[in-house]
Amino acid sequence: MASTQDNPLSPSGPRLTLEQLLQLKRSEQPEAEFWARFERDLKQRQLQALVKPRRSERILGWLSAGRQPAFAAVGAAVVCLLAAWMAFAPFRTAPLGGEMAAAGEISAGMMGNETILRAFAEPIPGAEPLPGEAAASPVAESRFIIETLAGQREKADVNRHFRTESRPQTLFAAVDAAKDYGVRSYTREGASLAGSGARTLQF
Amino acid sequence: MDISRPVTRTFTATPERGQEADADAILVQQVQAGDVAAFDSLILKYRQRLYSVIYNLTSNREDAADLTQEAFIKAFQSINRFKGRSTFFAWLYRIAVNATYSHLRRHKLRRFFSFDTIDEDLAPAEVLEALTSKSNIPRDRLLTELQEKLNEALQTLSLKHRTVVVLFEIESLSHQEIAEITGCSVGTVRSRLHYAKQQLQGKLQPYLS
Repeated sequence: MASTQDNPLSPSGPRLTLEQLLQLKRSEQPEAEFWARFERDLKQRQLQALVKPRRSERILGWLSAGRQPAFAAVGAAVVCLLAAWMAFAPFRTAPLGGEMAAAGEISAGMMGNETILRAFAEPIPGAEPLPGEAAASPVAESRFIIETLAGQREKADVNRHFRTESRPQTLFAAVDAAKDYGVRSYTREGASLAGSGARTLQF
Repeated sequence: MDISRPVTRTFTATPERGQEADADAILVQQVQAGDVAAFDSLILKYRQRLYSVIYNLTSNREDAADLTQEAFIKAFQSINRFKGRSTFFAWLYRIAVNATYSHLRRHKLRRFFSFDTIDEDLAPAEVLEALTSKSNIPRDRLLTELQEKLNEALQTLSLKHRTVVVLFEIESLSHQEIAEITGCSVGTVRSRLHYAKQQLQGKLQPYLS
């Protein structure tokens, strides 16, 4: 088709305004049978809309359609998963200080008192043995660990595993005290909140 | 634009529009009372106008037909939530424009045009005269070419600017009516219209005096 774009209108003809041009759009009309087809299709969709419940109604219907046992099972499973997660999820690695500020009152000067000694701790099997640990009682071991930490305060990025049988608050107190000896963070692995488990002390 | 947003302004720009709104309100009440047939009257009344708005926004007749039906279905499903804070006409247009916006955003990467034919009986006399004056090229060919240029030019506008031009220049709605449908102020409508027409002037310069 030869383009008429360069000279679309005759120079002798009337010139047009934008409004007149846009009014041409009003004359674009669908063919005669369009509305019959439109009405037929719309009726069909309207009927479907009447028969087919809306999404919210479908959800409510689904909920109320005798699925209470299934929901109870799903709910129970969720609760079990949540409980398992709470019981076995590892502590996050936390920098010392902050949330343990209360326990942080334990100072290096209090290392020998009972507060620290209540944090029963012993090396876990397979962990690199520390000098003199075999002969230690839990209390002595606890003291020994602290002393060991003190001896390694200049060494960075050394990880050791310890098994503790303390309540978390007591452990926090011990670990928090240990920060004075260069421990930067600890991670609790695979233990319930109040039970025993391995801790990694990083210092 | 959120169709569930309450509209505090209502427009009845002309006495005719006011009567139309009153008649619509009665039909809406009937539909809300369970008279499905009353909705057919509303469809019959508005289908052409609604189709025209959507067609001129999309420049695609198949999409326009589908979206017009979708708008009516949505209106039908939501009519019990229509509280009459705006006219039914404005509410329906808002649904249609929203549906069109969603469709155009979803398919912005695969757009194609399909045009309805120009009914020469409805075309402005000035345009036909200007095209007839052109020697040795058939008028219907000139008309088709002009139609393509016009649609192309409209499609170069952003959606919000195109909406204002379509509603004002083609559908002859007032600034206030457009403001209510598009959810913006009358001032914004005016400024969008001004900008959009400037853009179109540039695109359609060869056809304009």
